[in-house]
Amino acid sequence: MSSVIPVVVKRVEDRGGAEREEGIWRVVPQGRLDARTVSALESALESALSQSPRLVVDMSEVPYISSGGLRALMAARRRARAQGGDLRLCGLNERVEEIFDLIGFAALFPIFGSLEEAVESFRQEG
Amino acid sequence: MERSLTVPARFTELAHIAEFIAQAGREAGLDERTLFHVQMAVDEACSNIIEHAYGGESDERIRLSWHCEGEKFVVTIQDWGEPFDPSAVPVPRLDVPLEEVPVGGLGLYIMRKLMDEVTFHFDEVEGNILRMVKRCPR
Repeated sequence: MSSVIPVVVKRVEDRGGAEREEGIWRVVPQGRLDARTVSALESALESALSQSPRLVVDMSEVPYISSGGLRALMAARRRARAQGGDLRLCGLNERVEEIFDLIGFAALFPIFGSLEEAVESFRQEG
Repeated sequence: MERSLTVPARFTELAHIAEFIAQAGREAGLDERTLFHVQMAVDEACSNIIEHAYGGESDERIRLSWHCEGEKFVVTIQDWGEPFDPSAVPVPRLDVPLEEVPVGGLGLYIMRKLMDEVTFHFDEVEGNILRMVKRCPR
């Protein structure tokens, strides 16, 4: 399939010594998340989870997400929680956020306005 | 005015289908929000056809057409794959803890949430015919 979209996976820089050893990782899908592209997101989430169970998925460059993308996020959050961490979302555009609200997905994820707020929420937990 | 589109059952066609619906929505005068809902419902329907009706990507056809009935925007999607029985798909509950949310049935659930009418019909000759309606007062 000639179909991948870029998904950046990066460690969020430490701020002093309060971080857990494995840190917080940021996953940034860049493009439309549909049945054609969801495997790129799944691979990126898997790769990030192998580094740390504390993930922030930055959705600011995602104009559209299908049920396949939602399933991938759901599966990754389950895995992160099972490993003692969590998966948090930030930067949803207005349309995508409305879809989350409308179908009831907003109750299944912690959603933050910005990357900084999402990262801070992890830092406050120590 | 292009009112129908026939494409092979391939995931690469989803963006093409989204553009077809965008153009239809513009011609029909849908607002951006309503158009987004219709595009998402159509995307879910076509993904389901590729994955389930045809059992994966193939050169089999998906045919889409649209028209307006008064204040209703009507999209019809046709395939010639396995007959689809919507009553066999359980409705997923999302008001439960994340760990208990089922993974299946989400696409159909989203289609029903976003559209005002979603009806399926199967015919030996015409195949699966899905009709979805969005009310769009203009």
